[in-house]
Amino acid sequence: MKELPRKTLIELMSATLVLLFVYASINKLIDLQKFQIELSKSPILNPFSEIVSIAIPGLEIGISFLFFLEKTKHLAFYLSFGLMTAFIAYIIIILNFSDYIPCSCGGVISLLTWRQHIFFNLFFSVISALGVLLYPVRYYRPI
Amino acid sequence: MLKSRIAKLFTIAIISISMVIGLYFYSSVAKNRKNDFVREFPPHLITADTIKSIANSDLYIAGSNGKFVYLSSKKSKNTLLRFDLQTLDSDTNKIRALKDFNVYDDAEVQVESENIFLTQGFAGNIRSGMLKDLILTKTTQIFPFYSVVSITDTSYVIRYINKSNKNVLAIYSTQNRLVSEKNISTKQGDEIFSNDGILLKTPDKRIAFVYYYSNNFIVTDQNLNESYKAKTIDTNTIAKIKVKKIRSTGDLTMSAPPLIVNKEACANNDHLFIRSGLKADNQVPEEWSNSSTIDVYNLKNGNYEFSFYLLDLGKDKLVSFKVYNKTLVALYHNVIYTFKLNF
Repeated sequence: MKELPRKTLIELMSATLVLLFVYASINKLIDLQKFQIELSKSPILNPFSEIVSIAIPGLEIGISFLFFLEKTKHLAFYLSFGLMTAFIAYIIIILNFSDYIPCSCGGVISLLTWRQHIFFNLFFSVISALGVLLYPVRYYRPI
Repeated sequence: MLKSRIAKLFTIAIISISMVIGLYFYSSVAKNRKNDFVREFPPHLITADTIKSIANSDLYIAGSNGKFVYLSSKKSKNTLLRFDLQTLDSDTNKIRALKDFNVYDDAEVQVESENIFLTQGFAGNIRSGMLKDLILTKTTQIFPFYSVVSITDTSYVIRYINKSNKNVLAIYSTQNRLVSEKNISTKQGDEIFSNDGILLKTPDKRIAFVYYYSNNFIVTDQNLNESYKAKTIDTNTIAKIKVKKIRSTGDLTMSAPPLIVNKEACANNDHLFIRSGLKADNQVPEEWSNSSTIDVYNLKNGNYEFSFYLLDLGKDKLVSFKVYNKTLVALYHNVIYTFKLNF
């Protein structure tokens, strides 16, 4: 692949992920107490709802920042892949092994059905993985 | 280069997934503690009878007139499916009304002997008509209520929160309006969630109220005079729920997954049937999780008699069940299944 389209592609993918993370985290932080209560209804997260309610938007914002720095962009793709995988694992576990299904997603994301939700997350983890794989060995060619 | 990146992605995926699985195991170990009671499972309590597949998975059991069992749909609220209790032969009909009216999300159809009701608790009204023509002709406007059962076609038992903020049962008749209130508040925790439960009527018109979150139930006659208070066999006397207020909206909501003791209940003239949410110590975890456990209580005195299982059909779990005389109707997502009671 030529360097220029590859770079555009990388920028496009990181912009998409930043958009997702910023949107999702703002939605949670706007009403943090509500998010915390929603999480505490989760049979899996109940014991940790307070830490998790801060850690998730914190991670999302943190990763977004890493996308802006050239040095850490590659790392950001890895981390967002990890976060998206964890979300998918959480959804699958809660759908299959829990008899009580809470919903704690914010904004338009909460309108998705669980099936759509898995595909939604799968889409973003594929983007993150592609970002990791396509990332050039050296982002800027030495002159 | 590519190989090492793929390997790193794999490692990250495994770490992420195992972290979530770790959380899951941590919380399920905390949940699977002993409940300190045992159940009895005598053999051959029920015999499988007839099974029929259904196309629609959003159905609920609306009632029976002895010959047919009626199902209605949560989505298309004027649909009424009728199944012959013996053969499960079925047909589908539409409920109509003399005058148009707003149908809300909580609207529920109930069938009771030869009458049909459409109840809307939030709007506080009941529309009724005859089963033979399925036309809703009468409207009874009360006030918002949680649940209702009909005693005759003009009198009802409702559960609501009264002016002094207590959970009560009351008789409402179209002639005399409100008569005889009975307080069912257990005086524990918050008023609304802790005292939530299932209101039901026996065919001979006794009333029972079974609490969702604690091991209590009450049986009264049709004038709401208490016959007795009794306990289900588990040891959960206090409702284990946490309630918090969402500051931005003012909504009161649960702040921990509720421990539901009694999930569903129904009765014939002799027995009260409760689908329990708690595993007994003598139940193997696999058999508990692949079935629904129904506990049977004697309605004369509220004593526990025995239990039986309604097994999952593959991955399809029981949605709801009702008992009509000696026939148990089990509704799954994909089938309706009848069983004969041998007791």
